[in-house]
Amino acid sequence: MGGRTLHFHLAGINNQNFIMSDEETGTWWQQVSGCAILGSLTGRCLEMIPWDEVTFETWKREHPRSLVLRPAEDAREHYAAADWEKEIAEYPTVTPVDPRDGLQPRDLVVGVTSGTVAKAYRWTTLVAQNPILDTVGDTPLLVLLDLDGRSLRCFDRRVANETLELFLRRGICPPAIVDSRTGSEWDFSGLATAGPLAGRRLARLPCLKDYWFDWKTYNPGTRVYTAGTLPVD
Amino acid sequence: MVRMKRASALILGLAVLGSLAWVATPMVLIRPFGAQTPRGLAVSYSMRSHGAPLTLSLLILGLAAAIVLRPRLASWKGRVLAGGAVTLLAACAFLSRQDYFEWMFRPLPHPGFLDADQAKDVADEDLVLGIEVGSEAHAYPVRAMAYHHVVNDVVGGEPIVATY
Repeated sequence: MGGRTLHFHLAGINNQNFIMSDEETGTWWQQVSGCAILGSLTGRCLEMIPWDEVTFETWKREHPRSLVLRPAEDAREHYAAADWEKEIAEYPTVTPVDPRDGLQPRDLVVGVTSGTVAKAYRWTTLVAQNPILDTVGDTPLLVLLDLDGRSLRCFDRRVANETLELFLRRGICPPAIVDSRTGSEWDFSGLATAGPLAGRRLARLPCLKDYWFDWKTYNPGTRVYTAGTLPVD
Repeated sequence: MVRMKRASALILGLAVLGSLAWVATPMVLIRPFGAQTPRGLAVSYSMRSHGAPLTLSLLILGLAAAIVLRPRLASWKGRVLAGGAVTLLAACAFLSRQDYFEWMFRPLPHPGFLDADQAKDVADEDLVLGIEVGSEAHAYPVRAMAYHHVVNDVVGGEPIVATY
């Protein structure tokens, strides 16, 4: 930030999204946005770098030389259990959600923004329909789960001025993402691995797996996606 | 002399009340599972950022009042009370210098890393946050991040902060 490296600490909570402070200026930052809310850097935002939330297996497959955070010996006993999401799902929430949205506060969604438009995709809808094709603002979007059913990525589905319709072809082993016009096969990294478009790559779009109440608090105008017709294999 | 005793006791009492209120108010306003407002956050921020010098001043003031008071206190109850008041002031001065959120979720000031095949605590189906900068990739297991929440790191020469 302005040529200075900041070091962050957990410093509080704002409607169940945490606040961090930096050692250097004491400014408070909102985790979900990366933007400073109180203190001398108020209004400044950290640059969001592309990240993944994927299974360890998928990550290792794509980054075999990756390093992994070593557990801290004095904290390891506090690390979350494998099924910790079930426990968190029971925690109360404090921000109001609109019952007309049809979602519970702790429902998991995938949130995507494009310009001023925000959309949310229910996790359960994504699992049932994977992949989801939609348009957010002017951006044709692909929301994709890996075959493990847990690893998530979002892409702009335009390649060379053409908007692709992609679907999961289950009849082959392993199942592959295929585009309907050329039949090219695409992998989870967004790369066409076979077919006429082989070697082309879809551009990544940031998307966030989040609880509905949290996403809605910071993106109040969000529209919730309702399942469309499934492209037929 | 009685007036001096009363004034000292009053100063000591007010210092304790002021110090406690100053430390406790942001704790209450930004408590987990409470609803926060922008105004409440602004008040908490202001109180937290001025807390250290203020509570130290009140501790010094209270200590001075207790020193004046000490020879004028005949009963052991009064002495215990005065001692307790000074202890409370010291506790407030200490708390105002602490990031108590990091008591619950200890930070990782010097994160260590393993090769992927050495990470025995992480199952294949566990989620990780992953980033790649240049030719360097780091994975942060979600089960560890759900505890630490914040990890300051350098990846591919870029200073980053991973949050969950």
